[in-house]
Amino acid sequence: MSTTVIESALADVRAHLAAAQVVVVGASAVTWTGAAADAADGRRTALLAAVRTCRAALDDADRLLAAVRRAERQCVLPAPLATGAPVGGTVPPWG
Amino acid sequence: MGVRDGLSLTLDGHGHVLVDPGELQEAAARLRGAAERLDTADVRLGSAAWRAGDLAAALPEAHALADALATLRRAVHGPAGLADDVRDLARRSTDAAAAYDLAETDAQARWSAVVGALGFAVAVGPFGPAALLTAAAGVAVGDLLLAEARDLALAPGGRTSPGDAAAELADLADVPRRIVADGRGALVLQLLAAALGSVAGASGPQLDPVRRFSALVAGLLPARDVRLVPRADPPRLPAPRGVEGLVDLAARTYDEGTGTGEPGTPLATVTVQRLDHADGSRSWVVAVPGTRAAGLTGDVPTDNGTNLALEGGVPDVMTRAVLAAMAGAGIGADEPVALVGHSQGGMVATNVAAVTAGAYAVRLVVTAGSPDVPAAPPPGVATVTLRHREDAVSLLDGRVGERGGPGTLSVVRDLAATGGPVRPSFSEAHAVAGYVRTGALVDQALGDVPAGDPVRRALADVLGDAPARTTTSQVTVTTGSPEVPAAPGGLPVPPVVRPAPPAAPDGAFGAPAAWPPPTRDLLTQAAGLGGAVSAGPTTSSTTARS
Repeated sequence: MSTTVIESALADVRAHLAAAQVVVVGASAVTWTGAAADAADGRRTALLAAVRTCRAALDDADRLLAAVRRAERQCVLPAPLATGAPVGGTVPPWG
Repeated sequence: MGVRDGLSLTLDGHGHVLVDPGELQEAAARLRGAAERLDTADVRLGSAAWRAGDLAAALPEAHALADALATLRRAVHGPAGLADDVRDLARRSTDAAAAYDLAETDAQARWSAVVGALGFAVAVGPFGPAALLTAAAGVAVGDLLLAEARDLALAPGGRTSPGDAAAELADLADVPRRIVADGRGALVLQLLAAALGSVAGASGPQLDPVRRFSALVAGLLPARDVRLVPRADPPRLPAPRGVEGLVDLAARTYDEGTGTGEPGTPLATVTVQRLDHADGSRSWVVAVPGTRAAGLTGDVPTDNGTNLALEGGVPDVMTRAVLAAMAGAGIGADEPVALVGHSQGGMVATNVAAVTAGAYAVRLVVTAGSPDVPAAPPPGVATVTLRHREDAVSLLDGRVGERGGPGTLSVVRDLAATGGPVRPSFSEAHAVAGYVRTGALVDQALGDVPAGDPVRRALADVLGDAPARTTTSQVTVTTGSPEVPAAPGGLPVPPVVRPAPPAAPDGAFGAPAAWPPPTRDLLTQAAGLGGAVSAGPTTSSTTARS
């Protein structure tokens, strides 16, 4: 199903995002002080905030995906099975 | 090109900048990897958006999903935008690592070889030295000549006003200060050494010209014997509490003729301070002063003869004397030791740390305004090198990069921007009093250094967490006549026997002299307690304990 493919892709996006977040957080542990380090620290903080925003957007996408998945299931469920009619009695208009 | 392991601390008008270039480069590499993963995430997100758009043709509910995914892909907080930000962070880290890298760049590393080869190539002709000297002058004043050429190109018919001429003269007079501050002085020195070396036959094509020339001259000097004279009533010097205190100990070890030396302290005195801690443990600090005599072979061993030997990597009298002083003081093999020295004293301290590897528990070496020496402290010995940007003496090794070996905390202070003289003279820039202040600034900056850093650990190992009870002893080093008889109960110190000047067929040098010598032999001789003393003339020494 298409939603399965989308779900898998979004899971990959989350995994890569999480890995990048770990690296960015870890970069703050290096020994580096001074004005350039302060500037980099500011960039790092902004970057981590952006990562959180991205994750929130992915959460929204997941909710939308769940709705699509439900709709997809309803469309795929053959009507004859639901009504006890013989299998193959209904062909969805998009199928 | 990799970076050298170690910390770089820059003290300038903007406060202090502490950088671990190696860590930064590793972090930058990881960030670049993370950016690539985010690129992959962007591709996957694009795939999901395409699928959702495809699905929306059949399922109206998928429209919102397709729009959301497409919007996220374009957003600054989408994977692609994040990848750009992560790359920017990686770039900043790489730039900082490069700016504060302790290692020689590839170009710098090749420079010595190029100069050496140049000296070798031109030495065959009658104009070789002149060519090298011209090159040295070109490096020194090349920027002024280029500026003059540019002015001429812009205004070929322009006339120089008296004010312009005065400014040009001032620029010319300022050349020494500028070439020291921007590091060109080291390059000039290498060319000069290559020129002199080409005359004297010390022009190995692949060798550092400064070291080879120093070794050549030092090898020509007569051997000197060392005599250690204990001070019966050494001053009570305070226990060091940090880098400042350590450098201050070296400053107070100078003779009374200097601004920092304790009253009554003779020339070429070495301080050995015992620290007895409340927990019963014991540690030691050895402080060595710098050059105090201009000669090469006089009675005062802290002279230029010793400087040449140290720079050339051949045996020197002060290293030998400090080893004897340490042995005479009774330093235990497992008792932590810190060695500190200013100028020549720092070179000696480094040499001693290298020679005593495994024999003493040397934990820390602090050098202030010292050129590098060929020997390096062994792994496990923390090193702090203090250098003022305006200090010409620290450039006398002809090195272009920072000082100190791997793992060094390399400190560079801009005197003018950090409370020092606005336009420091060479003597002001090299003064030990200024380095004491630099040590205080380092102590302040050490709070930013990770607690597990080797320097912090070494300071704690030697100086302890609380003030210790101190016992200060001092010995004065002289290079007396070989005929001086050994004092009763004294400590024999073997003479420094210089290796013959390195020579090889066709005017090129062979392998460098074997220095430092094997530790065990050297210590056995230096201690002189039952050890065989060399057949050469010897003198005796003792150490005083207060």
